[in-house]
Amino acid sequence: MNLVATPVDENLTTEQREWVVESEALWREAHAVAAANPGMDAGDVYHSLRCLELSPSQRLGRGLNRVRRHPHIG
Amino acid sequence: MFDVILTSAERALLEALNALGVRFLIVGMGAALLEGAPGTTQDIDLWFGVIDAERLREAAHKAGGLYTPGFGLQPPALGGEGLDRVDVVLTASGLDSFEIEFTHARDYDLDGVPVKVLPLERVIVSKRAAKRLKDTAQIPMLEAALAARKSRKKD
Repeated sequence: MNLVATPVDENLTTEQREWVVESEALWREAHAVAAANPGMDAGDVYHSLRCLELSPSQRLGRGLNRVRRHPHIG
Repeated sequence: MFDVILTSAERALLEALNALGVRFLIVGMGAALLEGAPGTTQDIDLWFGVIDAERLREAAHKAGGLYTPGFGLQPPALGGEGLDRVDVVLTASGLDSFEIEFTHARDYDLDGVPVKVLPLERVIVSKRAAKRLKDTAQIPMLEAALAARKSRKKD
């Protein structure tokens, strides 16, 4: 896998570039975690790391809303 | 400020349960999601140490819903407008007693409501013990989430 340190697409906004750089760091961490746990999927680890950046309520909300697109927010 | 994830009825229910001193644990995939697992679920499972029908009925009433102790094939349930995705859990596979699990539960603030949540490692134990196909299928993702949590704790 070719892992680059910074995104090269000049069409990215500053915010997008920061997201890609952060994502790259998370993917590196995810691959390191997966490498230490045979059989573990790096993608699962990556998405977990992303979830850990959210508040607990946001994490639950994502998981519920993926299933139910029309939550009864009252 | 808090995120608005719960329905107004769910929030009222959890607040009423706390106010009435009804002890409960969020278990299952809802607990796993709160702990950072990137999965999905259709409902929020509440495990009660003791099924106190009177207080559950009162809490449900305060939330604008209902509690039924169950009859026929229907198990005890909470229901009504906005409470349809809350499930009552009576037993949890592979876990210790409610008292023990409650003691080791993690504290979260859910939309401003304090709740006790079964730790992810215990969710995995429960999923393994249940041996249902849908639980078994979730285990690799849950273990990845647990490894991610441990990685973050090393920082």
